[in-house]
Amino acid sequence: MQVTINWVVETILGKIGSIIFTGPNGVGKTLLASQAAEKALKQGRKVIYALTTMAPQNFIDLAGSVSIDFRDYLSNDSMVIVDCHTRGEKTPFAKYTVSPESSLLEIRQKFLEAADYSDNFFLVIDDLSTLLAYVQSENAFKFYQAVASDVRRSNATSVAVIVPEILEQKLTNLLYSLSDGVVEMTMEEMGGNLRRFLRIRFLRGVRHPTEWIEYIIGLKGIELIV
Amino acid sequence: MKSTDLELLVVFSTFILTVIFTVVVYGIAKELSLGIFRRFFKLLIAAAFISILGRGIALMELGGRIGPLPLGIETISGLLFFILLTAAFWVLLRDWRKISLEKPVKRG
Repeated sequence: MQVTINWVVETILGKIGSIIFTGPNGVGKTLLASQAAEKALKQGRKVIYALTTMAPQNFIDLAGSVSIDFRDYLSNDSMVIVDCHTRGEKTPFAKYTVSPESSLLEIRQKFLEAADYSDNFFLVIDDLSTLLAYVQSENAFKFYQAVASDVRRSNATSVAVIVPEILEQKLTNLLYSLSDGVVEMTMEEMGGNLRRFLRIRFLRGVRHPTEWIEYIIGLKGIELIV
Repeated sequence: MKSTDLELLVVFSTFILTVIFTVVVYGIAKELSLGIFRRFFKLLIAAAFISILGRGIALMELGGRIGPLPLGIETISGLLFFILLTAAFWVLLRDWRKISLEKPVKRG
């Protein structure tokens, strides 16, 4: 089975439910999520992008570095950024800003509001582990369960980016258990070179390979080496 | 109390308990029908319905609403219930092992 990054992204977008992108910092999770967001926008879907670790300007710049320009989509509201990073201040590009101290209930409500309570949206939480880092496991689990239920009820798709080291292993397992798929990304130093690998750990209802596939981050984002 | 009355009472109680069980399972399934729990709850609800059906038939027979049933029909409904119950937990355990970081599935 020939797997391309296009296939991975399209398969994820074709699913109703919640997917997790997991891996260490700097592996390319945000880039993969950006590529998925761009594809969803091209399919005419509404995209809600929640940022918890970077300011919207930095995110736009990062996407720009792999030739993804979200500015037009942001100006016509087909893409909405929910800024959960800059302490509730009004920031350029963000339609909604939520203080990181806000309750999880408020944040969940903001996601639905950003989606105009519509169907078939694409939600990205980048990243979920930072949002849940200082929250009790029970509350974190309930928050993800509620968001995953909202997504399923709206026939939508969500991608939650997580850095597993930030969360308790038990909580990470529970988040996986509520998800419809997990894409793992990793990087290793081999012979002085930093090499990156990706694999689909599971994707419910889809036949897929499970072995690690090497990828590079090129000018157009993530490209698998097959 | 005659033994048939006692039997009727016991079957009626188990029928009521099975209905409560089904409502509770349905309630939690509505909240948690996500990820690995989806198939688990489907099987659990199917098991509960089989049990209600079995208890319902036994109740009707004891109440004289239907004629005597072929021998073993109750046992079959019980057997089906336990098969589905076991399958539900087997599927849950298998899916949990697949996603668990402590016991990663050997592949890839």
